[in-house]
Amino acid sequence: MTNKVTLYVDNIAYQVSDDINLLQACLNLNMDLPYFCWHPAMGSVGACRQCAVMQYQNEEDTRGRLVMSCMTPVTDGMRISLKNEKAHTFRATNIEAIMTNHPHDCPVCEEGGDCHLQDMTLLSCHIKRRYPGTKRTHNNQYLGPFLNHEMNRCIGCYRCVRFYRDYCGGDDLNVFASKNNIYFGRAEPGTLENEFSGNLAEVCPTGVFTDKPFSQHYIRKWDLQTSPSICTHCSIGCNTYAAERGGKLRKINNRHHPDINGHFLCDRGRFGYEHANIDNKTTHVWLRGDQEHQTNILSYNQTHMKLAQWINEPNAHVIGIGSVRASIENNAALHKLVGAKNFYAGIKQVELSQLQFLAKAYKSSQISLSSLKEIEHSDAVFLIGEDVTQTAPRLALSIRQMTKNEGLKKAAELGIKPWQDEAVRNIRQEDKSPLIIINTHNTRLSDVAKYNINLSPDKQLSLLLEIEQYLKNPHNDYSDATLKITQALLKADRPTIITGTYNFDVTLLSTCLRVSVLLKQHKTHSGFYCATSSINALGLSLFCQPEQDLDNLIFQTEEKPPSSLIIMETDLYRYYSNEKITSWLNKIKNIIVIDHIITDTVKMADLVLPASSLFEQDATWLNAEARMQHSYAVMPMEKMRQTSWQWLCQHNLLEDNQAIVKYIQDIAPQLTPMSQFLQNDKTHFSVARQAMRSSARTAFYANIDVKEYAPKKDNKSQLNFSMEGLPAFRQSTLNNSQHKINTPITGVWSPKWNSHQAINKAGYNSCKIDINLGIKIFDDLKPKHSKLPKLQDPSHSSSLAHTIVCPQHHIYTNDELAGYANSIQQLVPKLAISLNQNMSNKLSVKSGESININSDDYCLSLPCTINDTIADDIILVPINEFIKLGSNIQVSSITDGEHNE
Amino acid sequence: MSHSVHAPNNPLTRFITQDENCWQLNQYQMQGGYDGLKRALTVSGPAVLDEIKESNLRGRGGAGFPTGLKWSFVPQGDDAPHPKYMIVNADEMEPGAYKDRLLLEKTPHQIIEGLIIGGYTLDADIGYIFIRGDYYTAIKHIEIALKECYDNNLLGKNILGSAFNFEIHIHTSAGRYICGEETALINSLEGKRANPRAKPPFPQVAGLWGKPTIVNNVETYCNLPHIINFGASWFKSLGRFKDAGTKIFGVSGRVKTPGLWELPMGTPIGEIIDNYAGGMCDGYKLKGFLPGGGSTDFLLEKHFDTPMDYDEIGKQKSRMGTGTIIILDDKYCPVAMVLNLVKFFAQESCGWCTPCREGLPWAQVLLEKIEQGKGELSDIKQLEDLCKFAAPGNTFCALAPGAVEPLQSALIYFRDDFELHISQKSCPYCSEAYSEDINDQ
Repeated sequence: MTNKVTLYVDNIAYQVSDDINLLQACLNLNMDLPYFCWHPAMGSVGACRQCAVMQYQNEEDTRGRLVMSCMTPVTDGMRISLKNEKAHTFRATNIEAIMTNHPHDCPVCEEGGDCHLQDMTLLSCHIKRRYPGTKRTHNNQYLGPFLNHEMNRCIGCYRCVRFYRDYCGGDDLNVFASKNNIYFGRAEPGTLENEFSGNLAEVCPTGVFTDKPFSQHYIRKWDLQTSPSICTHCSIGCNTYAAERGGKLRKINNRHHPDINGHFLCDRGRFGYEHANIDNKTTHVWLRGDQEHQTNILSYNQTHMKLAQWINEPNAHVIGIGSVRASIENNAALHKLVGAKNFYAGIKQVELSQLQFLAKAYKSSQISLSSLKEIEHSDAVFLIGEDVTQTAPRLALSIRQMTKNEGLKKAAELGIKPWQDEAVRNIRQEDKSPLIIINTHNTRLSDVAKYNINLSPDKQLSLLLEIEQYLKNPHNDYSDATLKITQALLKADRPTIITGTYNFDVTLLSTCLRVSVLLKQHKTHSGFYCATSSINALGLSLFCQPEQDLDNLIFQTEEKPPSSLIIMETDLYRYYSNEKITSWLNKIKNIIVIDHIITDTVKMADLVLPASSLFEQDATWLNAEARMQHSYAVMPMEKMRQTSWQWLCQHNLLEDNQAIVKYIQDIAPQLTPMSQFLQNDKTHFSVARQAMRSSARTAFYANIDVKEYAPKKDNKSQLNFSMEGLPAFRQSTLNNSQHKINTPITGVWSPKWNSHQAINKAGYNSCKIDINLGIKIFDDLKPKHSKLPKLQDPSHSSSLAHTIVCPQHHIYTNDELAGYANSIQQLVPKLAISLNQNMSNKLSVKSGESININSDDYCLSLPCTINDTIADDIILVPINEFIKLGSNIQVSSITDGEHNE
Repeated sequence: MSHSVHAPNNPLTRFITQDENCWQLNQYQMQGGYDGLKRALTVSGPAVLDEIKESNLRGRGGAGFPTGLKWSFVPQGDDAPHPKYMIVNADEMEPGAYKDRLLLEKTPHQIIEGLIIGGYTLDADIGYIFIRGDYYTAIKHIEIALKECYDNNLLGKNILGSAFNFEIHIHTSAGRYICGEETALINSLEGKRANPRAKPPFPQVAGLWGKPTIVNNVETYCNLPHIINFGASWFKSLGRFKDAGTKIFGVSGRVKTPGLWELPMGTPIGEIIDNYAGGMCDGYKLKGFLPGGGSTDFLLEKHFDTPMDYDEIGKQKSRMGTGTIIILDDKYCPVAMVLNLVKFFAQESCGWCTPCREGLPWAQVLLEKIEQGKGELSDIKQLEDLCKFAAPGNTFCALAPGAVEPLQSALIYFRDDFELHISQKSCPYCSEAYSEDINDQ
């Protein structure tokens, strides 16, 4: 429990919480106390010595004692001084020492202007260099497509290795050598293996690790236009800052959300933005011409006439396919246009069943949905059937933190505070809170798992059913695995059950939910989390009736195709074989595709409507924990692009945001709180997206025109595409007034704190308007004693999870849009089927030889690799191939014939 | 506890004879070796601890922390975590210190006996001897001694028929000075980078692999069998001043008979240098000396009456450290000597905290500049600033504060020498040719 205590800083009394260290307390009070090695998510280690302050024993004590504020707990009545000359001199000498080897390369350093070291150097008043020696130099390393490495800039704060090794569990980054020659890098050059390596660019207080994709279109921080965004590359919904200049998305930075991403993003989310920049994007309305290879560009008027003609033609039957990567608003607009009966989710049947089952279950008071923060604070996690590192990476990082709680508990018993990072680590050693994983093979989290059980899906289900039985009727006649798992879960106070929909197994999911309900009866504070496939998968499912999925749509319209088909923001070719989709689309007269990139589906369209990317629209999303969040456009829309709902608004009578929200409230009452995101009121205050010093704006388009164009207007939010309006850091000053600004702050900049690191300072007491934390839609809706729904039709379990073929996920292939980023493409693994040695013997294949898989819809042949952590009797197929498989799967090896001889 | 009556006045070195095999078990036992252990096993662990506390034994590694007090923080009783570890810090690497080497090579069983007694006292399970990798002879002797102990039921299960079980492993250090810092030693033993750890938690509570751990110097352990054997009051009576027992003192530098002697605590410095080390070599005068090895402040001839006693030396603004005196004579450049030391400590900095990692190399650069005759008066001020910068409390461990001790005192006592280097733009102690040679480099 935290208490408020009195802290005297330079003889002025402040009220601060007593569960934090002195540095944090001072930063929360907006004091300018410099620091390097401390990080709010990683705690204190006392290495850099920069945060020294003078501590006095009592009012009479005038001598004082220099203490490192990051290592000092706050106590009631504590007296300290920041201004004391001895402390000030120490801090000045310290930064001078830190800077002895730091190059004077700020003008060519990409960190310049966004550099914690620059900020701290000025705060500590180090102006003149006295050190007369030469500077040490290092060789830099190639670290892969995400990060640049410039070791000469290193100031030895150890944050990188602490983050990479201790926080993320990576082992290919380390510190080498000693004294001022310490080297932070890999044993040899090569791509950093950890999925969270990109955070090093933010964790590093200076320019040792910098964002490599950003280098390719580098812009100084003060020239960037920034706005609060939501990551759409998986279902977690991490909060980000998207930064833009000149119509090009430049960079994604973390935006602190206490309950979701905290301070860190995964590399897919950080580097997956380039779909907004690629050449292969839609910019104009394209109408297929009468002749082959002929495309006509239509004006807005022509477009709407064409649309009206196709929608309203006699006997028109218009089908709409919504998307898991399209916002709630866009899906709703399409839903209205085509009508509930004709609206289909752009996903396969099994996934829609999973999502709808989840949405129903979440209404039950027997299920508590955990946030990532709650998962981090839980004391046992049971992770079932989902390789979350690949499908919802940020979730895996939270689960990894959960395992450290046992150590925190032990540390607390010895009177060690949780933020005493190194002390806690030394106490913790190998003791971990239990993480129990049931999967088909070892995953990145296996290294911290207490039990890691690899089973085929049917065996996973039987084990889970046995656990369910045990929880109903505990006795000792169960299998060893059941007893071990249940004991670990029941020993915990706040166990969490985590699964995902990417195993395509409805039965497993419903069993997970039942186990979760039973566990909650034993442990009130137990939680549940189910990762879904995409940022708005859950949101889309709320608009659909059962069976309104792609499988059913294609099956039902095989004979009687619709007259017009509107496909919104999805690529059907990701779900089925080329032949199947092409032959189906060929039967349809008018195909309208709304998207911002030219997908294979766009290429099949008769009419292409260029949609805005995430970064050009204000949008609302429903993440896996049923939290509704709003993202804001960072740039005006390019050329003819419009947000999908805007293309449809002339035809569905939902002419503005308010009308859409109202419609959404009608069709999905759970989403009613969405109206809180509406904010068109710019009468009092608006907020600038650009920094006050945004420079060279007059020169930016000088190659096009000498005149400076007026900034584009943004009518949809309280933000401006310019420097006009309130600077972001002033927003918080309005919090208590009647002129409240509802948008999250647009960027991290405040006087003296220029770098993005300032978020570490701000993260703890930044303006926290509830709405900015999102709305968990099921929290208020739960009627008491509402029961879990029953899985109605067991035929639903005709899942994609065939007895032996299971999906294998990869962080860089699972998400459609991230795949457009060049940096991510470089890390996509070669397609291969994985299996264990027993299975390879069974199939008579050796590593590297090909395996054939035939099914009704799709056949594939891939070389195989042996991985002995994979369970018996299964083979793992890359997800993007797996998902295309139909029924009647046959597995064979190429060499079968030879062996039969 | 009853004690032997024939108490020696040189307990630590009494086993060392002219016989080159004097370190072996039979010789050690013939002279009363392992009697202390046998006696300890007849009483309870807490009773042994009381005796150690009563003896006023202070850690011989340099800091002089009371051993009994240190040990009393180890959790005891049935709820105490296990295994508990006892570690011998035999990573002697301090410039000028070679006292542990003598004990390690000549009396390995005395160390092992002390370690087993320590293990018994605190109900520990496993002992480690963390030894400097370059001490080949010592390593060989300890390895053989350990085997002798296992063969004779001095180690392993039910030691000497008691219910006490104890294992000892030897770990040879890969060679970093910082491993002598007890928590860096623990990290190194765990296979981690040898950086010191944050305290609290102190190793007594959560040390090696998170378990209660005691780390003490070789010489500290060597005292234990004798305290148990002859009693705390005998031990206290050995000291000539406040501190109890004897200590191995050494003198190096241009004295007539450099070496090591076991002498009572509180022996005056002058007596050690003049009587035992034979005074200065002919033609050399004493300019100053480091009383306790390379990381202690200089003292001068005027301090000769000071007893070698932790607190008394502290009063003269230096430290007893390892008790191995390094002499600076009037023909050797004090700047060069300090540079040599600072260079060593800068090299051995683990690189964790700023004042040590960046401050020591900075001081090294300035001292090199001055020694090469390129110094400026402002460099002296900078050196003073750097000494304050690396003061105790400002750094993560004691390495940097110790490293600047010779420098900060040299800046006071030998300031003229620094200024002379600067004003005449060369080292006054080097021949002209030599100083040009340095300049060319």
